[in-house]
Amino acid sequence: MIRVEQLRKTYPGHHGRHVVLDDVNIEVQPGQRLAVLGRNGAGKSTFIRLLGKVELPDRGRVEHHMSVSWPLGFSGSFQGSLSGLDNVRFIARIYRREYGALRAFVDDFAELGDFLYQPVKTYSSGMRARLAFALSLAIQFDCYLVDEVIMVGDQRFHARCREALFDRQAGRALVLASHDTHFVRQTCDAALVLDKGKVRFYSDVDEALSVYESL
Amino acid sequence: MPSSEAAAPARPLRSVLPVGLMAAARLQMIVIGALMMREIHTRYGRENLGFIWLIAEPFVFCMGVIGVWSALHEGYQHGVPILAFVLTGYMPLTLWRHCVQRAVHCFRANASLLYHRQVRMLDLLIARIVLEVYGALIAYAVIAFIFWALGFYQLPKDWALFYLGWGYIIAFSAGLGLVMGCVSEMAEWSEKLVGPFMYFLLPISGVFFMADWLPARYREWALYVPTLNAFEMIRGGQFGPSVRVHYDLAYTSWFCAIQFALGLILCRRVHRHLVIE
Repeated sequence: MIRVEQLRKTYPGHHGRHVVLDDVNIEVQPGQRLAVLGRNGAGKSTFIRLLGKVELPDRGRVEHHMSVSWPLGFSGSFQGSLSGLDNVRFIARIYRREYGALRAFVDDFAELGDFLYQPVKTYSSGMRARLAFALSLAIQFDCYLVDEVIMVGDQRFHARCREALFDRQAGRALVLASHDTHFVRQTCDAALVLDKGKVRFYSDVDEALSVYESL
Repeated sequence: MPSSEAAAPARPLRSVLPVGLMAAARLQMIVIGALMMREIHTRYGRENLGFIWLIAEPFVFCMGVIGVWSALHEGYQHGVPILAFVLTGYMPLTLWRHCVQRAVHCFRANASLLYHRQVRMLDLLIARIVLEVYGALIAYAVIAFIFWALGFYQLPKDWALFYLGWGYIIAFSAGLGLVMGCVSEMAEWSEKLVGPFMYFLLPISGVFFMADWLPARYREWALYVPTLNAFEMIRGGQFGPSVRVHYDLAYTSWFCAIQFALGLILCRRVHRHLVIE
């Protein structure tokens, strides 16, 4: 379970501090598949980074009672000037996994071939996503934080992610920020809608989607 | 589904990120170690001389300075051998300059790694600083050994005082690195002042002179500069009773301790203000 209590986050803005999230109280249960909906700039990515304890809130707290992945998104998590393999090595060290096993899984899942020897900054966003998903799946978290990024992968990669992560049988909790209503309806069983710093929980995804579409 | 996925057993929560003070401390050591390996790879690459540059760079620098000084001062100044004097001045200076330089851009180069929550601002700074300390110490040892073998350098007369001085230079450099690394992140303009600040500090730091060469009334003031105290100790250890040294252990200790504490506090604050892409 992830428990979020009275969370508040502000950023320095043009007129004083801009409130991104205010008084957010939610829980993510083991195995729950939660969509995060909201317009651009509503604070979805910020919310996911706070859930992952990457950024710290101004007030309130985030508690992890299960293992939670780092936020899988377009940016972050890799050192661009290092090769893919060096990044695998780094992640193996800090998550205390055996490098050989991690590499074997990444080779199999991400199918990056010789690109693993190239610096990560030369990767396309699809390739980065493949590497990030492969690594986080190999480490095996109870809950995955996914920020939109799944859309950039190709068909084959989508299919593999669905099996390993997005299907209910995979048994992982999921917090997924996405604009793809079809994908959300297919994957998630509850949703949060972010608007003007407030977060509302909906146990019915269709209802959440109709609220989101009316924003 | 890939076969290895099915084969990998689900691992308990504890094994991903450990709980408890000792386990957390161990994880922190692992993270700092991994960050140091990362730094070595990006900075020196895997090919060519690689991390040999860690030693080669200050070596080349020192050789140049020793060449110029020896030509100007003919081997001795104030009865002190020039080569050992330059070595005990420039090597700690390099450490101290590098610590600050590397700390100032530390966050920008590593921001993406903060996506892994076990990696903290403090770890990034410590990794870089420890690497600089290793580099400076190894470089000193190698260069000193070469000159010693050639007969131009004599081993320190008082090892304890020599090491103590190095200890203070390391403590000062690390503390300053922490503070500057954080300050440069909190206020962009401060980065522009690092250059002038270091330049201003250089002539009064004690790299080029010893306290005993100063008139007594200036000496008292000069010893408020913490690096001068440390350089005095190093040189007192290097040259033994042949030189008179002046230093204030209590003052230097307090200065380094307070600076270090300030650095730690700033690290906590900075993390709260970070906006990570």
